[in-house]
Amino acid sequence: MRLKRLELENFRPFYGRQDLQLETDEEHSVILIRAMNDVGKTSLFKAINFCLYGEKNSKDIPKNVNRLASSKGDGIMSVYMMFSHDGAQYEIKRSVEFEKTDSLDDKPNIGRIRFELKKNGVPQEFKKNDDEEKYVEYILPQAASQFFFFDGEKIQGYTKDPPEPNVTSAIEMVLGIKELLNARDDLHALVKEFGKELDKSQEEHSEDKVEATELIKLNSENQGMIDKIAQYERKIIAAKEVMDDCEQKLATYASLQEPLLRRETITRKINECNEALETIQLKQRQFNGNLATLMMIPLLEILHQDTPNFNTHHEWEHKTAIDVLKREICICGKKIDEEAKRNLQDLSIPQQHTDLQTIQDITQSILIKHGVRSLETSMIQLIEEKKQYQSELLSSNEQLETIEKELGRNAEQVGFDAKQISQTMTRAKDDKDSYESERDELKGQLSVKEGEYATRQKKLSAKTTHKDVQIRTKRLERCVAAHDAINNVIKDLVDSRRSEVEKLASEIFMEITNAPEVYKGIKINERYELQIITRGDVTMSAWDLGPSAGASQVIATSFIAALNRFTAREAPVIIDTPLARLDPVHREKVVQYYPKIGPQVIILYQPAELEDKYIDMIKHSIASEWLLERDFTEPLKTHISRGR
Amino acid sequence: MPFRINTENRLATAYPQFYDELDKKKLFTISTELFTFGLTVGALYNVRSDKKRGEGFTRYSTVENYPDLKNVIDFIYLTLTNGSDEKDKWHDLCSIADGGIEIIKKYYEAQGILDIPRIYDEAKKKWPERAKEIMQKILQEKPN
Repeated sequence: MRLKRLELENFRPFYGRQDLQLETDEEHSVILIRAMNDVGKTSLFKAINFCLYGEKNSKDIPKNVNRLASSKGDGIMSVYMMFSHDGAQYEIKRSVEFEKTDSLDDKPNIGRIRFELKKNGVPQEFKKNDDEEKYVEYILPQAASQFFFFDGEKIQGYTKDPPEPNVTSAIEMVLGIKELLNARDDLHALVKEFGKELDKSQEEHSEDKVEATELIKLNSENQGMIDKIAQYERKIIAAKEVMDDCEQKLATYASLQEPLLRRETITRKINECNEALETIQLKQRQFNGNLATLMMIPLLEILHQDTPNFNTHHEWEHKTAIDVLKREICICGKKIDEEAKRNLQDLSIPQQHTDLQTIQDITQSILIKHGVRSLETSMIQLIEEKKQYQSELLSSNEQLETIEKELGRNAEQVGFDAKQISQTMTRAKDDKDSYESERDELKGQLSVKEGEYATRQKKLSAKTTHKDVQIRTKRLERCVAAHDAINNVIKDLVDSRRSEVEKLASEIFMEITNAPEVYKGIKINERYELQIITRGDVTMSAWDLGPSAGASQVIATSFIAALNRFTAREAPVIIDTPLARLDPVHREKVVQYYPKIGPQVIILYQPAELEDKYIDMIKHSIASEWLLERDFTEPLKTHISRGR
Repeated sequence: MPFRINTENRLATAYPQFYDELDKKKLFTISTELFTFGLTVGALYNVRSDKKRGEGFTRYSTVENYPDLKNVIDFIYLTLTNGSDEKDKWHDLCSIADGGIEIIKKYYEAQGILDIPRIYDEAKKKWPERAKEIMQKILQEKPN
């Protein structure tokens, strides 16, 4: 399978129609898709899975519908994929009708679900849903897809104790021996069926009816235990899913701690600046009451300096009037008549509080009260203070904008309590451990009981001479023999492949490890656990290195790369967030290896994971680069564009 | 006779919307503060507004509660107003205030803010020359 094109419509954060061209060739086998945290990398990953396999549980379909789209009206959510496989061109489109919701928080009601598949342009007809599934399974079985489509955070599961996913299953799946595996499973089912038929026959025909009845009862009890074990397996899977979900949330929460703290600090600072500016505004208002006085002071200062002119002029007027009153002729030469006399008399009386005196009083009063500079100084201080806080506010708002972009949508959603999540995770782990313990105990009991059943059945068959019993006994024996034979063939095949995968994984590991002087290679032991060999020939389990150590992730990556070389089915290798836990040296080596992992390698990464210098190392192998981005003010609208 | 302004005189303006706008922006506590600010700017630039004014927003008697504002009004009334009687002089005072408001309004509308430092800086440059004119006027006036 080689992907060529992916088109999303209202899928998860992708509002409207968004398109990705995924063509690669032999020389340019790598596609890079970059996005900040929680912008849509994992959703892109899920889109491919959804297109091929739909949702296990139909109740999960609504959560794939873009909320913005559903809040605006009825519509369609779809994922379309074009790819080549075994010389043919395929187009798959899975689409879902949805109804309008009342708010962004509501999940929409789902209507018709359609699955369309074209081969070389010809629509394929399917009578039942099962047929659709089988068709896709033929191209790439869902169980095998997990070994091509990787969540980088989960790659390390191979190095956990016990490995998760299972290393044996991985090798089985990619070997392309599905027909053998199916045959084994079918024969296993037949063994059960033939066993039941033999029991019935023995009950009918055996001389020892009591034993025959007991055997039926024993078989039924064993079946009950098998069912209960299956139930525990389902509960264990559910508990693991809860743990994974909690782990992801806690990882998100942890990764957001620092920016969240910064945001809190900056928000506090913004509030402080706003409060300070409000106070300054009040002060400004009070100060503005003195604006008239402020404006007058330069004038009054000048007038005050010239005060002698006022006094001199006033005194001169007074003295001159007194002197002129003594004469009959004024100093200007005119005769002093009655009117002139009255005016002169007015001037000669020493007058308190003339207008001039009032002006002088006001001048002095203002200057004494406010001083020449104090109002001006107050004004300047207020302005400086305001500027300072405005500048701090601007800077803080810019920082906040940057942090909001960094936080992305998580900013609003991170309201959950990390402590609560931890407790949930602990409970889920305790449940898982308890279920595993009870399952293992049951398995032990079952093993004993099945052994007992087989022995007693054989004994009873030997005692019974009836022809029907004899025929059914033989049939069962052959079926068991066939099942065991195929199982052994599978084991031999897997075992032989194990050593080949081990050899190649080891070579790849030595190529990308940052400590080739310390390590010698990788081993896959009899229990199919990944181990590491040191130069001193010491063998360590991968999980003993620590879950966050770069070596642990590198081992898993080496294993996946080796697996891909041996795969009987070609499929793109898609890795989501592959480098988050790697140190720079490992990162460089792993990146350089990407073009060799498979015929088509699609990497979904965060900017911090893959800096330009790393991308430059493999630029000759890159077919295209894409960017998923979103305006943090519109969290439900991720946009796909070409480039970085 | 000692100087005295009729307490029933009302401070009036032809620009009540401008007063309201600055009031909404909470730039002044009372309208009289803006009136006296306008008065000083009008006195500085020796401008008068011929726009028709309303009935007035407050009496002179209320200004007596604000000594600083009263001083400014009294000073400009005594030194710069023209008129044959007290009523004319009061009208002249209000027209000087509105003349100043027109200048302040221009500054405000150009920048969207009341740029007090700028207005003050320009006042400091202009006052020396204006002070001479005012001084001459004071000295030419006959005392009461």
